[in-house]
This record gives sequence, C-alpha cells and structure tokens, in this order.
Amino acid sequence: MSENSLKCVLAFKWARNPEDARVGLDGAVDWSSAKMAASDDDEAAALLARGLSADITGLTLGDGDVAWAAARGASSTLSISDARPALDSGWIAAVLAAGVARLGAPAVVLVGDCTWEPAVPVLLGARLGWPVLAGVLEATAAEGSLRVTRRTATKKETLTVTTPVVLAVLARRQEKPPSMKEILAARKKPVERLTTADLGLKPPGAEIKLRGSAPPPAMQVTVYAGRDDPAGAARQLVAALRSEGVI
Amino acid sequence: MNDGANRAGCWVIGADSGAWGGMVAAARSLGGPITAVAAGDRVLAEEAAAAGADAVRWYDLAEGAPPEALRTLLAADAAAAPRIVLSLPDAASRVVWAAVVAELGAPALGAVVGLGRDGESVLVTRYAAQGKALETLATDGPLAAVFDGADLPWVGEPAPITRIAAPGTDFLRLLEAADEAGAEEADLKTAERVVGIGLGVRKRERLVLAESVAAKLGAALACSLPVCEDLAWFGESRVIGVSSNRIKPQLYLMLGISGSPQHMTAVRDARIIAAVNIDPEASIFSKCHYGIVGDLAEVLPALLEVL
Repeated sequence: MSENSLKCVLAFKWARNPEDARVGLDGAVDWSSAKMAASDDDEAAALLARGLSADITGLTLGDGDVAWAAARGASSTLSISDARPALDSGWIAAVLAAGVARLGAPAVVLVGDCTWEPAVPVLLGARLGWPVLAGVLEATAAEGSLRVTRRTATKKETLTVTTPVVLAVLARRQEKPPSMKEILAARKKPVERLTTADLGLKPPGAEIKLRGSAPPPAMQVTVYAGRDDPAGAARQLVAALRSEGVI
Repeated sequence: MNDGANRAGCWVIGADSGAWGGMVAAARSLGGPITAVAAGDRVLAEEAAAAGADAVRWYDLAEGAPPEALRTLLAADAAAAPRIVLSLPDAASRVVWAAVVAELGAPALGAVVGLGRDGESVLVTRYAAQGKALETLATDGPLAAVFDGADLPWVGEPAPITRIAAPGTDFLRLLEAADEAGAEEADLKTAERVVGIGLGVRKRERLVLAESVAAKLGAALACSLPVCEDLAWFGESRVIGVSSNRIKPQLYLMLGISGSPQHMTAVRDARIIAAVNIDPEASIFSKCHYGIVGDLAEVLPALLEVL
C-alpha cells in the first residue's frame, strides 16, 4: 500500500466542548451557545492522518468551522450541516457513518478518541462494520496493512490491521496549530454541504429522556490557611492525613 | 437486531482490567441476572468472576488475537444479549461492546456513573459539562452504556466461568504488548501514595522540596500534563490524566495543580485527595478532601518538618 494512495477520512468537530456549556445554580445545563468544537483528540487524529496519507477528506457535523481539516491537510470537506448531538451517542455515530459511506470507499477513518463522547468512535466503526482500534497513539502504513500502536487500560500494544479500519486517536500533547497561511489557503478548498435528510437519516427518537440535572454532590472539603501560618497548616494537614490512616 | 429488548438482565463487558466490581454493582441495582462478558486471558476472566456477576462468558482469545478480533463472533453472539449492555471505558472494552450494541440496536450513552430503576424505566446518571452537573436520564427500552463510575470491590464466591474459544483472524494481529512497566507507570498504578507536581511548583528548588516530601511519605512522583510538556521535568509515563495514567492510591497529594477535569477524572478512585495551592480560587479546593492555601516555598519545608 503506497502511503499516498491511502484514502483517509478525518472526522472532526462532531462534538460540543463541555466547557462551553453553561450550568445554572440548579444544575441545569444550557448548551445553546456551545458550537461543535475540535478536541485535542481531533488534533491528534489530524496529525496522524497527515503522516499516513496525502489523500485526506474532512468530515464534520453541525455549525463548526468547516475549514479546520483543510488547514491540516484535507483536500476537501463534507459538512453535514444540520447534524446536532442527541442524548443517544449512536445518532452521531450513525451520521458520521453515513458521511463516510457518502465519501466512497476510504481505507482509513481517523477520529478523535474523544473523552467528551467515548461511545461515538467505537459505534462509528461498528456501524460501518469495520474493525476499530481505539486509544491509538501512532499508525504507519506497511505492506498491505497498517501498523498501529495503541494504549489500553494496562498496556501499550502494537498491532497490524488490514484496511478498511477506523482508528480512534488519543491526544498526548497539544499539537502545533496551523499557520495563518495554511488557514487562509484552507478557506479556498472545496466544501460539500449536505443535510441528514440528504443522507437518508431520520432524527433520533425520544428513547432516552432527560429526567433532570442537579449540581454534583459537594465534597466535604477542609482547607487550612497556610499563607499566614504555613507551619500550623502543615501540622493540621499531617494530623488529618494520619487520622485518615493514609500516612 | 436481536430481541434483547425484552430480555431481562444485563451484560457487563470488558477486555481489560478495570472497575468490574463497580460496573456489576451498578447493574445489580436494575435487577435481573448479570453476565460478565470477558474478552481476554484467564486472569481477566477470573477478575470478572470475582466482581459479583452471576456468570462469566469468557472469550478465550486465540494466540496473537486482540479483543477487537472478536467482532464477528460477538455480533453473532449478541443474539443472546439482554436489554442492558454495559462496558468498561478502556479502548479495547468499548470496541468489543460496540460490536454487541450494533446488533442490539439500543441507544447508547457514554461515561455513565450510576444506574437505577423507577418502575419499568431504567435511570442513568452521568456527569455533564465537565463535572459541573449530574444528569439523570431515563429510558423504557434497551440501553447500551459505557460505565465510567468508581470501582467497588465485591466479596463473595466467584461466578462460574463458561469458556468460549475464539478463533484468530487475519485482519488484526497483536505484534507486541508491553505492560506499562517502563516500571514508572506500573509503579504509579500500584502506589499507595502519590505526589503530583503541577505548574504551580514552577521552580526547580521547589521540585527538590516536593521530591523530599514524596520520599518522606514513601510516595511515587507524578505530574500534570503541562509539567511534562512545558517544563519537561518528567516523561509521559509520569503524567496523570484521562488520556495517560489513571491512579487509585490511598493518598494523592497535589502540589500546585489546579485540578482540571481531565486530571481529576483520572484520580477519582484515590481514597484521600490533599492539595497545596497558592490560589484560594483554584478549582481544586472544591474537589479535594484536605487543602492548604499557601506558598509551596513555605508549606513544603513546613511539611518536611512534621512528617
């Protein structure tokens, strides 16, 4: 498999950043001002895509910046502009899977293994009926397959997998943002805009309902004033930790 | 799709070591039989059996086959799945779970921390908005969820294990596996006490003091991601975070760490969290058990005096 012939789809900005949600004193969550955002994992997926291939197509949902992937190496982008998150994570996976199908027959779909939505990347692979590897750290094209390093709960593993495959990529560090020149050039790259109806998708039903939202239970916190009396605060902390039996 | 929507009980799925006990306890609150589905080696099957489930389906992987290779077999076996299917949150477990979920046709939720029942409805709790709210969701139908709640050890007789030999595949093969025993990560994961270094430590001389405190406590040293990336005082293997190391020590002492959601989720299973930070407004002071508002340059020598 020549690395330049490896057709890749980079899914990006398919989730909302939970930091953008407003939470009221009663615990009610207001997402109205939160746009679809790129996570650190999206950045890691973009970097991996660039390392794998020059043939990258971006795939994004909702109202985010469609030029994001184009500034990171994608030659064009498909935007499914009316897709919004639902309580059922399977809905976003279904929309992404329909988008991938629309883009022909890619060899690799790269998606951030996003802690905001941990179910979506694996459900995307299951929907496509493709092998999926999550927690991916590195991938290189080898003869007829990919060599992938990924992290599990207890191990770091290297595997070989044939294509097509979904790789859910894990961020390890803050990636370098694209230059202004790359951002400006990205805005000239082609974008196809479709709706979920164009892809034959029906909005999710109301199988899952929000019953309520509340502030999380408050922790019992004991804070010692160490600015004026560091020695006293240290004594109190050590005494507390001894009484807890942890030192 | 199967007819699991009408089948009582719950499958709890995992392909790695994790919060099996917590997941089974959450499932127990729903009533009905609980089957642990373990995709891995015998050690994993025994961990699942010791978590309080009623039975274990152990998918004994062929040599060189990772759990994700079970995709086809699990899709077929999903016909036996009940209406509720839970998964551990690690990378391999979620993939195994998704193969079942796709066949079950159930709506899916990520990162749930609790389950319950209200009549015929299943209730699910999960954190929203980076932990600033706790949502309760309800469904009357089948449900698939990634369980990311705390572990809960279970004491009792292990469940019977049924072994299912899984064939190898040619699409996916494991080449190498390293226990994260670049010794450092393994050491962090088993440490009784861990001292975490954050950007608030700032100066080398304070790092030396922090190392002395850790030595007096017999604690392993860890750090926040910015300390690894920006200061390069520690390698990646020492980083605490959802994407790096999750730990569960008896004591986690955080020095100059503000307490980002990524960091705090990874230490959620620590029994006692203590923190020293100069900023009284730091979010850590609502997320720890004990804290000192103070300058590390003064508090660390004071701690060394009394330890």
